[in-house]
Amino acid sequence: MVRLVYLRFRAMGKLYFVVPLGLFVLLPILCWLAYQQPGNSAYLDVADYLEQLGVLLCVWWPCAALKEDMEGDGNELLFMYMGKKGRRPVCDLANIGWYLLHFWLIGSMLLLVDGRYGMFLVRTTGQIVFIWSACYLLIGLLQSTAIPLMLSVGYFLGGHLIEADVRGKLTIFEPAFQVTWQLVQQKTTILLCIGLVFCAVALALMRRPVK
Amino acid sequence: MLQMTKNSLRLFFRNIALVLAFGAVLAAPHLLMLPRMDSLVSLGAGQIASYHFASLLLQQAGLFFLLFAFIGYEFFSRSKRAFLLETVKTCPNGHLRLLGAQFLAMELLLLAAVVNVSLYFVFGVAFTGNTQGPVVANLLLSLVLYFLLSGTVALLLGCVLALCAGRMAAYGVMVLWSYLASDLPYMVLTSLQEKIGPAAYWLRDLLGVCFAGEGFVDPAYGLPVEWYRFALVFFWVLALGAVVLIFTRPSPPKNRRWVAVGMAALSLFCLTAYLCKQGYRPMDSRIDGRMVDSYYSYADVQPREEPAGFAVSACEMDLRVGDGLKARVVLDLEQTEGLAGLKFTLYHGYRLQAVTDGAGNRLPFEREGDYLYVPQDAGTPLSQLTFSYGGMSGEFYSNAQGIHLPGYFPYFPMEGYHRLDGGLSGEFAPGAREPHLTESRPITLRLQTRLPVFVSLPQQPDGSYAGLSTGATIFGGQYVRGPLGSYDAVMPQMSAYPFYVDGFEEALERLGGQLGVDLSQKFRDKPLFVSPQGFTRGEKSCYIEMEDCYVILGALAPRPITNVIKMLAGSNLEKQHVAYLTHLYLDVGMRDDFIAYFTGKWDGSIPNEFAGDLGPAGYKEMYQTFMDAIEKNGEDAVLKQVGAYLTDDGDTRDRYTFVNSLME
Amino acid sequence: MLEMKAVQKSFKKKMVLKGIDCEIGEGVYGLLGPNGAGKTTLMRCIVGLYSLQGGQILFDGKDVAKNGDLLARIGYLPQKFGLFKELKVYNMMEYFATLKNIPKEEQRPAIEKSLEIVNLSERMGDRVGALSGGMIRRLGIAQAVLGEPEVILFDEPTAGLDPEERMRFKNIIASIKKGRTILISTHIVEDVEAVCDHILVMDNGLIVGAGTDSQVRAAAQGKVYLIPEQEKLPAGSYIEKRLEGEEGVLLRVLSSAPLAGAREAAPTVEDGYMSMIKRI
Repeated sequence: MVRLVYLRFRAMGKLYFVVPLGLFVLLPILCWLAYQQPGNSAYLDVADYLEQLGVLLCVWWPCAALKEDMEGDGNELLFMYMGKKGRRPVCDLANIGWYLLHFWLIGSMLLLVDGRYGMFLVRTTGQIVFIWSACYLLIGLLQSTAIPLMLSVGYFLGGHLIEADVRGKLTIFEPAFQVTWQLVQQKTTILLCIGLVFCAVALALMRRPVK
Repeated sequence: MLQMTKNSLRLFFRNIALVLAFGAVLAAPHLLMLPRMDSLVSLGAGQIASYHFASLLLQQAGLFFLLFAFIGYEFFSRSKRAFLLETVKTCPNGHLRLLGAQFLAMELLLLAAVVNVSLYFVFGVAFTGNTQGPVVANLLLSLVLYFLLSGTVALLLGCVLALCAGRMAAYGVMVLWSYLASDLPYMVLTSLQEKIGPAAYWLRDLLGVCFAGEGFVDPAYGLPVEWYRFALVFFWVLALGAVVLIFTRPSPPKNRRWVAVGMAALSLFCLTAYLCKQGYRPMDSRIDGRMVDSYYSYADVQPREEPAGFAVSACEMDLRVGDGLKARVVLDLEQTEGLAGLKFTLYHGYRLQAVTDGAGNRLPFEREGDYLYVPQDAGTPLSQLTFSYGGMSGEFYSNAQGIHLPGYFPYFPMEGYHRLDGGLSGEFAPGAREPHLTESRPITLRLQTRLPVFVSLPQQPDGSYAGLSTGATIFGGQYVRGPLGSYDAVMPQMSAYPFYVDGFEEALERLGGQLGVDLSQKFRDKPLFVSPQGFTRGEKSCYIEMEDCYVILGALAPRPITNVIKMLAGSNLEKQHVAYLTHLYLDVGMRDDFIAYFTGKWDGSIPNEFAGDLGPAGYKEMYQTFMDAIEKNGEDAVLKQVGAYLTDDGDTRDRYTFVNSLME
Repeated sequence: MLEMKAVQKSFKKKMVLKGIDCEIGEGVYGLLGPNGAGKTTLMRCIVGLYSLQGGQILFDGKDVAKNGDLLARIGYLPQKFGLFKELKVYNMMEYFATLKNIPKEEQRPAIEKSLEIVNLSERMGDRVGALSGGMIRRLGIAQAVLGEPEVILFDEPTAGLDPEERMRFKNIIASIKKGRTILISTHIVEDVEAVCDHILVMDNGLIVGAGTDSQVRAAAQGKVYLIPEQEKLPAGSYIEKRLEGEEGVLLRVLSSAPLAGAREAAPTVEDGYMSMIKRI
């Protein structure tokens, strides 16, 4: 099973590296830029970058991994071997697990810089799980990767373009300066629960016969 | 073609994923707006601008772009996967007709989506009753530009990616484009431009067909629909269209190649026009790729405050406002004998082409940021200088959509060096928003613009403006002149809040009583030029008194009445500090904290507003002395002394000397 | 032994398989039928992609639907195959080997053997996307035979292939058929004739005929005539082909009743197939 999970990531080819490049190269550069600015707002800027990049990149791997399953020529074979042998839950959920590992790896380095990042890391984890599972659910529902990616990224973009003062009320996002531990605990719990429900429904939908 | 278009629509609606995507496009504006409608509508028609609903949706134009790019990609790539293109290859112009019909079908859906968005635009106009032609035209143009045309670019992008790129690469391009063309990279680009300069914005500016700007600096400007935005959109439409034409066949026929070449050439023309625009969008607060606010932090130029040493006896200005400002200013000079050179201040955003003397000879000059130095021969003092320059200046904009050139702003060369580095938040420091000149001079202004304009100088029979002033204030665009309370004002047609709040005059009278100064004629003796720029609430108003007008940034409201105190200080820096100190003491929002802090009853660190004067005496001593004087001699006595100090032109004491004298 | 007992499958209200009964043992079976007969649906039911509305499919007496591990003994080449075009051939095969639960240490020899069978050993390091259509189809066959499955199902394996590739396919079948059950679904009669030991004729969701090629031929015995074009044909006869020769234009016709002015022709497998399909 471990080998299968590994091979599913390797099957993405070069597309796999988009996420590590984003999290381990681009994000540190943005953090460095933030700390070059005058004033004390660097850590809030970094928290916002964590939210943006962490959530935006999380939908890349499920789409890359499931592209062949959904739209490949001969995807019946994958359905046959993946769906019937109970492998899909492990392989697909390993996707989000591995992503969160990457995210927390860079996050733990930020924690060494400033302990206040813990709150933002927990918050963004909840957002990642929600968006990932929503994307996964849509992939299972529509048996396509394009429109689920569009809707997930669209929600991300639309949510971040709303003015800061109402963003937290209307979406799962909020500007860093509004974040408190209490808010994180409440919101993250809800997002994780919804994410679990989405994953369960998605796994059921993935068992449907292919077109 | 019509039949093919109908079939394309049928094909679209038979696909559940595409139907869901289109449903999301239709639902998105309502999901964004409906939860907020209650709070917006409850403000009342008088307190909300007709464009406000539109501006909220304009922020989401990037989302609209993303959704249509994906819809376009998914739809066109299905044709490719279904081998439709190969099938029609043998038909005469098969590819073109098929893709054309499909594109037409997509455009119809785009139109439906735009009509869906426009409901809120229409609602805004109907709700506020703001049906003036320029207002409606502005809204219509923004709808066309940011939704219809940018949606067309998105569909073309989707088509090109479907024809030429792999699936994941296409996803990456669409997501990246939408991200870069939105407000999200703002912080990153701001930081980057400080490291690498204007190049930080190039890519975003090129891709930003759906991006209105980083904020609406001045609601009087309306929604940004400058001509060069259309040029950018047409660049992309033509360029992507040319790619589609070329790529629909492995070896396109000659006539198609020529058409594609023609489209590519036209697109380059549009791009060149865009790149050659005279100035940046005022909404981006950028000049030459540098943020206006950060310019002074990162420029190598030290701010200066130096007297001219000479005088300007007359000023003649020829201004042409089109894409930006083109100016020719002639200054008659006096007392230039014995000076090695003449110092002027001209905002760094304007590019100076030439300086000539009275005989028309070109003169050398040195320009460093805002500071201009014109050397002169010892034996031949200059009596007249002509300056030719042009450009734009961020928030002090002048283009085909609007003009905001207050008389205190150096849009014309001002004698002497003056600091302009105090930003909008600089309550007391010298900056761009205060009068720098003290001596009026006769000014003649000839102005060419298509906009309706209001100028602080009286208009002459020949259409020019002439009068005595330190600088003419020019507002153009969506302004009207009329009564504001009991004052005569030039004010924007649209605003998010009222410019006059009941109780202002009573508060003014009360303040005058406290300072022992007659303020009854304040705001009555000259017209008011009201701008909502940079402020959204009355508490942050700023009042600047010029020789020929008052410039009101914000509203006439009781709460910020203490900002009037700064007006009394004029351009005297020492008095401005005392005015600011008095404002802190009297302002209802800060008074309690001020008193608590300086009477030792405060918990916590010093509030930023009290940081104030960082001179050698330090803020604390001066502010503490002020509070001690009030405790010793009483508030009434101290305030009366402040009023006398501020209004007495003969009192030249510095701020420390004055404040210390309050203890006596 | 693969057994189908009263297999029924419907999609919404449309009954696609109306009760398939047959047994498939060792050997090469051709599943012949027109488009829309239900061949692909039957194949997908056998590999468990679809659940049945009625009946059972048994593999060595065990219900395939209830024993997912049986899939490890079945290889399948779907109608379209072109997965993982960005991967190298070896990596793609490695992926399927893992899916088929082939132990890691046995994967390389199994992959090399499969690729050798389909003559793609030299292309192991190439990207799948760089292969031609015929090679990709061979690669599909390679993944189907990977792991030495006992039953291999091929769905339209030669559709779109050139004659050389089709010949190659027939040779591959000949090389792997020993000790296996192979089911090839196709509508190309020549392929079935050349390769298959047994033929199942399917039409409209039912098996309408089964047997060896001589038995299928025999179904059209006495029903095949050559008749000049201008002659009148009775109702119920079916024109198979139009032939131009020295005698002019002749029609090859299937008819249950003798035809005046026509001479009888020796039936072919195609004639037998057509007579079963057309119920002549």
